Amino acid sequence: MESLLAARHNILRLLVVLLFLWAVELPPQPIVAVPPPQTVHTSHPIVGVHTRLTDEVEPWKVLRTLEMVREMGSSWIVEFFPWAYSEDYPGEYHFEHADMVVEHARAQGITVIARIGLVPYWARPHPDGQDTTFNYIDESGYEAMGNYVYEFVRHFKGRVHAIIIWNEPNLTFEWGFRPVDPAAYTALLRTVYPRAKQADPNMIVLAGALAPTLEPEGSPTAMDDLIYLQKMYDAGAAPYFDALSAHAYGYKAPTEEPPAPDRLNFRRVELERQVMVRNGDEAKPVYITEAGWNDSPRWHASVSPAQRIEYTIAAYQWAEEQWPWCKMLAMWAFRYPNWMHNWQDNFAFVGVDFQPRPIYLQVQQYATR
Amino acid sequence: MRNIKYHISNFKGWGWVAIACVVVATIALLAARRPPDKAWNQVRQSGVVRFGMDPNYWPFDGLTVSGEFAGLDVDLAREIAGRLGLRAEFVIIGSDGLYDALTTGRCDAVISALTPDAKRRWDTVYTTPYFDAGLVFVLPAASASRFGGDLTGRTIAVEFGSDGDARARWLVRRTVGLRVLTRDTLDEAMQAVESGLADAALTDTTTARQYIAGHPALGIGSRQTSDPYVIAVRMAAPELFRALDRALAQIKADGTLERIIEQWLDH
Repeated sequence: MESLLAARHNILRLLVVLLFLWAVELPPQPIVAVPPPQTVHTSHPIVGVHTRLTDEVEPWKVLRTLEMVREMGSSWIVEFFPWAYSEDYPGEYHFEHADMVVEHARAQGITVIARIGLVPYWARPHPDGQDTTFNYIDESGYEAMGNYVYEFVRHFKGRVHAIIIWNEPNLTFEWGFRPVDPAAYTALLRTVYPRAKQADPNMIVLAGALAPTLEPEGSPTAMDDLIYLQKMYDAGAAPYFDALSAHAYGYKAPTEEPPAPDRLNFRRVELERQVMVRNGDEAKPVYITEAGWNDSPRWHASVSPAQRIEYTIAAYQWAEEQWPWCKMLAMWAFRYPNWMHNWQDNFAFVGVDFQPRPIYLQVQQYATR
Repeated sequence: MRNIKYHISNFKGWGWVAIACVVVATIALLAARRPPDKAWNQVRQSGVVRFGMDPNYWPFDGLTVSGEFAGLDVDLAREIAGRLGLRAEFVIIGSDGLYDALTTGRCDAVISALTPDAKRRWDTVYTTPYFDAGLVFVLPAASASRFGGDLTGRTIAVEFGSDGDARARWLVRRTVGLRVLTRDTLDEAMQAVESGLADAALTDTTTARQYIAGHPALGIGSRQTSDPYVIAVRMAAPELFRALDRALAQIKADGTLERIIEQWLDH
């Protein structure tokens, strides 16, 4: 009788252990579920923002950020989806975090434009031979990037509106600290574009995303965006992008200041547009995927907080009324996952702690009234 | 079990010496295998330490009309290099590229009104802070030391849309009876304090010190936030890091740092 009792106890213990093991082996359940679909209520559908959810780990913060984007009346976000985060090893793709961001955005009624860049270590030269940064890619990595873009587009088919290939390739820093090279960037587009279309013919592929700069050819730090864009066309880039991604920062100038080749201001993008038209590409639209003013008290190109608000709202108005070729205007940057503790914090619309800055409230008033 | 106890109790004399020798040899071997600090070797050989800097942040990092580097960070970097018997050179890097410039060896260290970034701890080390640029209260000098703790019933003046404004809105939600006076410009916010309309203004330390330099009736009260400025060095350059940090400690200890700060902010 005693042995029977002991056997029952042992079986019971075993069951408890098995139950525990089963529980801990279960895949983690989402703590923050994707909410029911919402709609962006806006009177200015051109209004967009560039979010920074790439390094935002906690799902509730992703959700709250995107709720606030919707509540501000922004129909669009531009977000960075780093290749290096999703393909640690060649051919092994992890889109869990990207899925979370895209699904939450869609649930808020927001259209997503995905910027793709940041090269994994295995697609760059071996570090023993050469120290390279995440922004380094040479010809040997183009095919790998094409494969990644194929997988990304296939995975997000119907869920992401457009993709941007690379960021500001006309800056040395963004080109892996090498001399910038429009022909090399065009060669990258030539490899990647067909792969994106192969995965989804409806995916819009954006190119350019050039940094506004006046640096002349041969400068060690950058190349004038207008020269760079022309050189892209000269290298045969036209068939390899569906629309241009442009950056339209205002620096110290008010919104309406007329553009000039030797001036950096918001309307400089009109000069990029002229380059497109000169090259027979007028049918393609422009998406402004970064723009804005900075209100740091000390950065050399900042304005006062009140001016920043005034210029930002005027910029949305200007793009809507004056630029029929402009599909969307995204201001940099909605919210950072962490304070950067430098002048770049003064681009943010919302604090790390989700406290809306006055610019958020003013744009909200403009977009939703 | 009994056997183990027996062996332990008899394991003495030469046995412990042998273990100690193995441990010492292992440590020595590991130390010998540690890659040499190439950055420090290069700095010593060349006699030059190259500081990466985005010269767009006056009065810390800037360029004169004739293209020479100037600012608080520039003077501090030169002082640190001098203490090490070296010469400071500056490499212009956009703020986005400062860490990549370290990675690729375009500079040996970064000094650029930089605050530590937790995300870079895997490959970067930071010196102790040399300046805190966080938000502070500015108020009549006579009451500066008594202000800060309890804000109930106080009135704070801020520039509309500024970091001080954002912080004040945060404080209002947490303090009963705190009032915020919003002004279009910082000067107007400061004038509200001088005229007695507000008990204090809230702004960053640099702005506060620069303003007070011309308005001696005002003083700095308690700190609200902290933005410590540091120098960044690659993790793979531990000897360079130690040298810079030691020199900075000396400069702090003998009052040179405060003199440099005063020279740039208090005039």
